[in-house]
Order: sequence, then C-alpha cells, then structure tokens
Amino acid sequence: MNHVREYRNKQKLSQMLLAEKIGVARQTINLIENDKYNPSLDLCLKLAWALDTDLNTLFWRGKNEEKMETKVN
Amino acid sequence: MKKKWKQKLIKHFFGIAGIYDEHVELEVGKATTWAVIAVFIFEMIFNFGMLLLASLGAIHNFETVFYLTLAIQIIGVSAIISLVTYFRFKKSGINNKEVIAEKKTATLDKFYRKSVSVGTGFFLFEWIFSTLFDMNGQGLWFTLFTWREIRMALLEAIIFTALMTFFGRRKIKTIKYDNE
Repeated sequence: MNHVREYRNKQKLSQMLLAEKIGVARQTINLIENDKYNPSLDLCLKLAWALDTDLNTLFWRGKNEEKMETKVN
Repeated sequence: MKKKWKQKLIKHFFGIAGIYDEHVELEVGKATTWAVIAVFIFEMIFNFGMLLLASLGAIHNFETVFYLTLAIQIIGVSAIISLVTYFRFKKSGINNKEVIAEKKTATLDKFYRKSVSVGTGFFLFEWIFSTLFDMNGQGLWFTLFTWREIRMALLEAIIFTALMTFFGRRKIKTIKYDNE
C-alpha cells in the first residue's frame, strides 16, 4: 500500500479537494489510494507536492512490506 | 492548445462528463481497443459472408444488396462502438459527474440550461437542414415557414433533448464530501 491516504488525512484534505488541487478526478485519487491504479510519474510528483512530502515517503515500499502484501494477496 | 482541443473532442464524442485526466485517458484507450477488435470481427464476418453469398451466385439484385449492406455497415459499426464504449465506461464509472450535495442544485440548473440551449440549437439546425431537402421547387422562405417543417423539426428536437437530458441526468452522481 502507498501512503497517500495517510498523508492526505495528515493535511486534512478530502479526496475531492486533493483532486481539485492537482487537477484530476476524485475517482483517480480513490483508485490510487486503494492501489487499483498506478499513476504516472508526473501525477506522483503532483501528489507529493500537494501533500507536502516526497516520492519516497509516499510510494516507496520496503522489501518486508512487499513480501507481506504478496502473502496477503 | 492542440492537446486541449483533442481532449475536448474525445470528451464530447464519448460523452465523458467529468475531468479528463490520465486515468480517464487510459480507460478510453482500453474501451476503444475493445471497440476496434469488435468492429474488426464484425467487418470480417459480415464482409466474408457477403463475399461468399455473391460468389456462390445467391445474390441477383446487386443494387438492393449494395444499399442494404451499406445500411447494415453504418448501423452495425455505430452500435458496436456505442455499446462497447458505453458498457466499459459504465463499469469503470468514468463518465459520471460527481457532485457534493450542496452543489447539486447549481449543477443541475447548469445542466438543464445547457440542455435547453443544445436542444434549441438542434431544432434550428434540423429545421434549416430538413427544409433544404424538402423544397420541391418552392422557395426557401416559403418552405421554411410551412407548419410541416416546423412541426417535424420541433418533434425531433423534443425527442433528442428529452433523451439527451435523461441520459445526461443519470451521469450526475451525488457523493459524500469524501467517499472512501
């Protein structure tokens, strides 16, 4: 899982407000948060800027995290 | 500028009501790929069938068959593209326009005003266009203001506007401020 929802909640932004801020549809934010859509690098950067963080923090998954997700899936 | 014009064209062509972002672009790409595959299969089967019929000598009136083939092609291709893209978009939900409850009334007002103006435009276009084909040696102004022409254009415009409003209204979805 990425950390978009976590950082959005930290910033007290709704999905709709975040979507408006970076110029995408709310559904796109929802899909990204639920790992159902892989955003482009450009959109990742916009998300990072809007959430006042960096790409690593938002999207990087450690090896352990990846293994756990593979097991769950 | 050029990209925006293309995006507008795609949005209008497929009736996408929301924001045209990269995810929508991806879904449009997937839907149109399926539509192309479906059209290709239809064209192959249909044309091969017609070729087979013609080579076996089963067709005698080629002129009638030609017109019939054209009509089936137009209806078939339009139906395939419309249905395939409609169901794909419905499944992914990209042709929905989401509004929050507080903004719903304003969005609906704007939508109805747009429907009326598009309907009026359609009426004027249909009125003038059908008059040009119905003159039968009489003058343009005379034919234009006959009750028959006005009635026909009005009827078509009402049906078009009603259908457009009905389907457009269904795309407007109310959501909570933050749907998880």
